[in-house]
Amino acid sequence: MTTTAKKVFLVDDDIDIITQNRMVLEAKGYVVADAASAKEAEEKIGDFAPDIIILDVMMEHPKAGLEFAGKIATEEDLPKIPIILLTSDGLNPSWLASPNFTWARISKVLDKPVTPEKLTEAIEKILNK
Amino acid sequence: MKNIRLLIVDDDPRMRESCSMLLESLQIRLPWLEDDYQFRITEAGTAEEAQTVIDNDGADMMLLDQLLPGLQGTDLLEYVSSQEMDIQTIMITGNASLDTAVNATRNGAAEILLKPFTPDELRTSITKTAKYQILQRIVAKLDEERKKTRFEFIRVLSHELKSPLAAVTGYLNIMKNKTIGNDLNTYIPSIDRSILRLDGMKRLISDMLDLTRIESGIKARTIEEYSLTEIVSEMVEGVRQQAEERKIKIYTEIPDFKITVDRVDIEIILTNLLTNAVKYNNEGGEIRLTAHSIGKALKIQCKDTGIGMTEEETDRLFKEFTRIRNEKTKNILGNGLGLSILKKVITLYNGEVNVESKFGEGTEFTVILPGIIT
Repeated sequence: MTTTAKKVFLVDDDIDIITQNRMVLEAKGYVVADAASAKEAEEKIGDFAPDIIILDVMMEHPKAGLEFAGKIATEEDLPKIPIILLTSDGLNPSWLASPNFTWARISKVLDKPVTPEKLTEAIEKILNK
Repeated sequence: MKNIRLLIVDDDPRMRESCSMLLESLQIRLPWLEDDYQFRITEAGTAEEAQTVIDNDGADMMLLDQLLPGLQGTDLLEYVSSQEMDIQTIMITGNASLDTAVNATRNGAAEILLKPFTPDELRTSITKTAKYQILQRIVAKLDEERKKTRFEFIRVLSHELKSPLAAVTGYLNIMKNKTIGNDLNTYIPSIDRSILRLDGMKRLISDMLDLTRIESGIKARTIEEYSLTEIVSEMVEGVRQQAEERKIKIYTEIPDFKITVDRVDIEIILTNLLTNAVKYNNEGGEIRLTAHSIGKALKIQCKDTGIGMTEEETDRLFKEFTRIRNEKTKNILGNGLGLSILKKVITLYNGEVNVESKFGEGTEFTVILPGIIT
């Protein structure tokens, strides 16, 4: 870890996924905030100003996460932050129909459940780029 | 009005013309279909010409003369069947040899029409074949839709099954890595959550079985007379602990009706109403379960002082796997099948279920089951 703690934003409608990723990341010294829906994420992201977002796809609707990623890529008042998609749906081919800009901020796609090592490794790799 | 593309193949132009005239004004009507069908007619004088029409524009039906210059009617039929084209064909022949008939039928001719035929014979034959064609296509379309719905159901179901697995695997990984130290006690909450998620998964599997069993009609039902107050008090007992943990009070006003139902059905209805009223209630809230009679119909109302729903949320409440996801429900476990099961059971009694809700104030379910009070 660097001297100032990096901030990770966990967006997932499964409280257990949030809880365990929080355990893993806090043990590694990250500062963590969470949101249970894309809507809540939009409201919280400005104040929290994360360095990276770990984002679920299927939340209030099947593509809520992708839509949120698209908004981050295009809307001016949302900060431009790298995203790791974390999903139990694999790389669903129907997502590929999502507009190109959605993919602009997505640095990596990880399959649920993700091991603590894989998650922290992916975050470190992106933040140290 | 919908079109059936009919191709008339005959080398005699007068024959083509008279058939066209007879069929132009013919309408095909199936009593339960909104649209009537009419024929859009194309003519061809040879099998070769007909083949070009089929290849370029396609056809739904064919009125096909056997005796043609060049390629014969059966040759064209063979071509159509080799290309697996869905064209219902009526074969016209002046020479009713068994051979021709067998050959034509083997290559997929729907009907054989003997020359000379009357206008009525032509109309009857065409109408019969057209109806068959329409029905066949509707069946194929329904089958396609059924497959899509089934796929969609399984897609959502597998997501709902994968989620608890991911949650439990996640906790196990944390324990394996000793992420929060060596003391086993610090992992107890993770273990508790894992057990809860596995219970939820078990529940999902049995709910799904219930749902498909009810839908398929396989569920064996035994209709007998029961005391409503007895069943209700048993069901209330079932959610008592869950309610007490969150200081929720349950009030019941149940007259001592005798009802004639399947025991499992009424249990499904009451448990669903009560568990939802507990799950989506606030700490210290109330539940009021009441019953009234409207003639022989039983009206059950279950009212809670819980988190309530918006209008948009109540609208999609009874759909399979619908879960209302918002800030207030994020800690509540459920699989989104309970209310669709409830609705299906109520439908078995020709009953109805209505919901009234105010976001932040509470929800009231009203169930009406006709003809069950004895």
